[in-house]
Amino acid sequence: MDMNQKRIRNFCIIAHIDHGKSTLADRLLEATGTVTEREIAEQMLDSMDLERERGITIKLTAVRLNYRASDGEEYVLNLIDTPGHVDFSYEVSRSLAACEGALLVIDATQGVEAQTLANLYLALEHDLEIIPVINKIDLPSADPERVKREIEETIGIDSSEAILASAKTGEGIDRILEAIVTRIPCPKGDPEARLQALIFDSHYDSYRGAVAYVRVFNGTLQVGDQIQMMSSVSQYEVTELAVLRPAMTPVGRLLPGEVGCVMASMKNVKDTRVGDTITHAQRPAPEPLPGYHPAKPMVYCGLYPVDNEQYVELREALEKLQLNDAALTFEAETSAALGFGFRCGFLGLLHMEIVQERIEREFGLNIIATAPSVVYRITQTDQAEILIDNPALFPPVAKIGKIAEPYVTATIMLPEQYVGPVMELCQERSGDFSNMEYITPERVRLEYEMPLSEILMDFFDKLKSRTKGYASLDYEFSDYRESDLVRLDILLNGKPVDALSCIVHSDKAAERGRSLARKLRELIPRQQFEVPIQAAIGTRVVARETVRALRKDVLAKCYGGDVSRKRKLLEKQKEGKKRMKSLGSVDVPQEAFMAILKVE
Amino acid sequence: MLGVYVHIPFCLRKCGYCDFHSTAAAPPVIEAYLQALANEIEFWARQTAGELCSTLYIGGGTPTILTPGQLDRILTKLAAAFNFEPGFEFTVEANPGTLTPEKAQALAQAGANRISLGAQAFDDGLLQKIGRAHTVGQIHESVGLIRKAGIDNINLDLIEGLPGQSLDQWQAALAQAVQLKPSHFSCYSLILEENTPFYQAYQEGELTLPPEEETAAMFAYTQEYLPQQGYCQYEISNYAKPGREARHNLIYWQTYSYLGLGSGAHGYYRQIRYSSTEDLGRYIRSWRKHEPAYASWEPVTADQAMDEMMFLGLRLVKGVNLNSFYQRFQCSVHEVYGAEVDRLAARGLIEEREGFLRLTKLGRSLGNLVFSAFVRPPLRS
Repeated sequence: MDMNQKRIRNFCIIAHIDHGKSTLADRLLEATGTVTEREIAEQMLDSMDLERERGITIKLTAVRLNYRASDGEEYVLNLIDTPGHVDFSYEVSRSLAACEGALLVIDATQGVEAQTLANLYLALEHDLEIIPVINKIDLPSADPERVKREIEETIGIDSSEAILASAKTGEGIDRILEAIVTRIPCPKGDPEARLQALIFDSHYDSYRGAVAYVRVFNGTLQVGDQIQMMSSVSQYEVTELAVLRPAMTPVGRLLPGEVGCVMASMKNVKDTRVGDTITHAQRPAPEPLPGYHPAKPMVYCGLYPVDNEQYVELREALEKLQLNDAALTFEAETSAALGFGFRCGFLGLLHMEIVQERIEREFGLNIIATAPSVVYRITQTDQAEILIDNPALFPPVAKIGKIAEPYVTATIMLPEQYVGPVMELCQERSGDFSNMEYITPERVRLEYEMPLSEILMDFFDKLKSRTKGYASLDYEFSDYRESDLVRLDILLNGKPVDALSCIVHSDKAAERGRSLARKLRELIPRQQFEVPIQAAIGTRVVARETVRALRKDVLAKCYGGDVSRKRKLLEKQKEGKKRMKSLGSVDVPQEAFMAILKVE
Repeated sequence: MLGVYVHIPFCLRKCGYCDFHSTAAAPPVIEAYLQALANEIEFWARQTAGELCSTLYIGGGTPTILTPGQLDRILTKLAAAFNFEPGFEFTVEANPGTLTPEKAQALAQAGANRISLGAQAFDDGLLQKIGRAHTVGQIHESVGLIRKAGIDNINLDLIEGLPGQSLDQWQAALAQAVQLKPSHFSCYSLILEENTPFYQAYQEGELTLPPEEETAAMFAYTQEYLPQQGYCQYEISNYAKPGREARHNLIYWQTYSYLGLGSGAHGYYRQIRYSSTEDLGRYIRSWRKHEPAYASWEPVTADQAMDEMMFLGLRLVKGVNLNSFYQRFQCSVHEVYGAEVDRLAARGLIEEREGFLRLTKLGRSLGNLVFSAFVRPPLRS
């Protein structure tokens, strides 16, 4: 093996949201002199605004660190970032596949969380060397001994090897770097073999086209090479290769074990699917690296422009986002209430929220999002099976034979004293208990089989509020199960609004209808005319509420000194209205379409 | 058309609902203020260089808190500094309880021909509750003094929808007010402005206001009753005997120009909206040295000017003159706001009559739905 290859270490950081992954990454970059403290003022790895605001990582990247270890040798450490959220577990899995080891970061004040565990299991599946890091030990409430016990119980790793650290103060950073060098194996692979390079991420750059982030496993990739994507027949010529330090630095070739990015005039990220293997067109590898499958949307919602004239702009925005986000799907749909829009598919709720926010922020479009829906599998009375991702398209009751809905296995980690309330919550949400395990005497791992639709209904917030924020949740698709479901319709002013329809379990339908009508009465502002709200199942009206008409709304005074100020007031009123959709003569605010998620 | 507004930011005490710029100040401060104001008057007299002025309005605060000598001095200075057209409207705001026979004489002698009296209510309990420093008896007294000084053009300010006020009480107040035979009424619905004690109390649940249905009924009653008594409604909150409409206020609603003099005053001159500092100390220090002391200075774009002509003009019962709009901007209201006009008309909020676009009766109650439609947010840079 090449001497250089022996001095490469590829690793990632696994952590729950807020456990300090980004700060730790910053410290590693700093300690290796990759960037200076000043440059790090903004957290380096999370480059999207949204990520920074929400403190989460959505798109991953890779950074190359040069480190002189205590053995006097110079090492190349590739830090491959992983997204922390369950929606992106496929991406996590791909970035783990590019590594030989992982830092498992656990908050010394919080302990092991559900998502940490989910990602850790993925890491173990990929046979990674795990280095536990107990972070935030500078905090007064830190309890590293308890966390160590949890590590032993849940993971079965010898916790005496855990490194106590504080990314904030820098304590333990040296030991982490040394552990990366001594405990994580160097990459294997033969530079003369046929090329196999795993795409673990990609992004779209308006100048370069799609940029693929790869880890070379075998062979040598050079500028000018004719390459081929093994899941398709697409061939390209490599125009540029680079490593990230963290700025893109051109290199002539990438050898086994190396991590870098490939540019080859590829049109969009669909040409660089995450999980795909790049090989040489002339001398292809016999088979791809294991594990490519396209990410499948789990959650759908309708996105409509508030102003119908912005339909084309919305489509362009979705197309642009898709360049960067292969998991986002969309197709045109129409709604009697909302006009022309798109049915969009997402990996999960967070993915959905992120896309919505990006459309509004980056493209300046006002959009209405309908409540998210799962994909129902309906067997009609004529035995035909159809998939429905939009409540409005539900067939008439007479045509429905059986309905099945997606179930997930939900894993909840929580302090022992909240087990009661959480089990109650899960049962209210049609959860089937499957397992309960004491990790330590204080912490419990609960497992439920639940309809995904119930998770979408504000489950996470409810979970947090019943456990004072201490519970964490992870879920993955398990199977389709038959359920007794009906469509709940909402009528405004006596007219059904298709975009407000939702699918609910029939035993809860009437109750949900009542809460939804009440919620809508709160959300729909008073306007010129009275607005009757009805909730109906089929032809049966289960709830009725009224938004009273506005009787008086006029600025009583406006003189010379008031003009600018009054103008601002009016602008504010208008701005509020811009975020509403006019359905006939009723102005309905955006939040109303999401109201079903917030009902009790 | 050019109006002149002068602000006297002093009051005996501050009312619970008032967010106007005013303070209870000591006599030496008032004197220093008037000297500074005299310098600002000279400055603007030079700026306008003999331009014809149509109206003069002294507002506050409480201008009648000044001594007769001070009133005479400042009003005489103003009348001499600007080139007012013959018979120009010259209004002074007055509060009952601050007006004496000497002050009324001083106002008349300096040329004031219109007094706007802050009556507000005709119930001593209510007047006390809202923090007014006067009684119903003093309202009658003040009207008498004004008439005696020879001024017959009198406006009464009234507030509808005061805390604890019922429709009956409002009707009684109007009836009493009409007996005083003023020439003009301004009837405002109480608005809770932020940074007032009322707003604070309301937020804390210590103040109950009549329900919207009740204030809507008061507004409806006013619009019905005052015209029966010979006062024609010409603006959302304003009613006048024929020919007695407030010419100065019409300047605001028709977006003509006006100067704003004094601390906290706003002006609109040569397409610029500006305001003077509300910081009395700064105002006095600057103008003592003949240096302007402005707080804001904003050129009005053509789009903004159009919007303002619409949402201010629509306050007038006769509405916006479509031809004037075209003359001024070289494009029609329909070209600029076509879709909004159609939508609002379809909802019965506005109508076009004889070359004017105006609010319907319903539109006058829901004016904000109309006004906000004519406000276009400034382009983002």
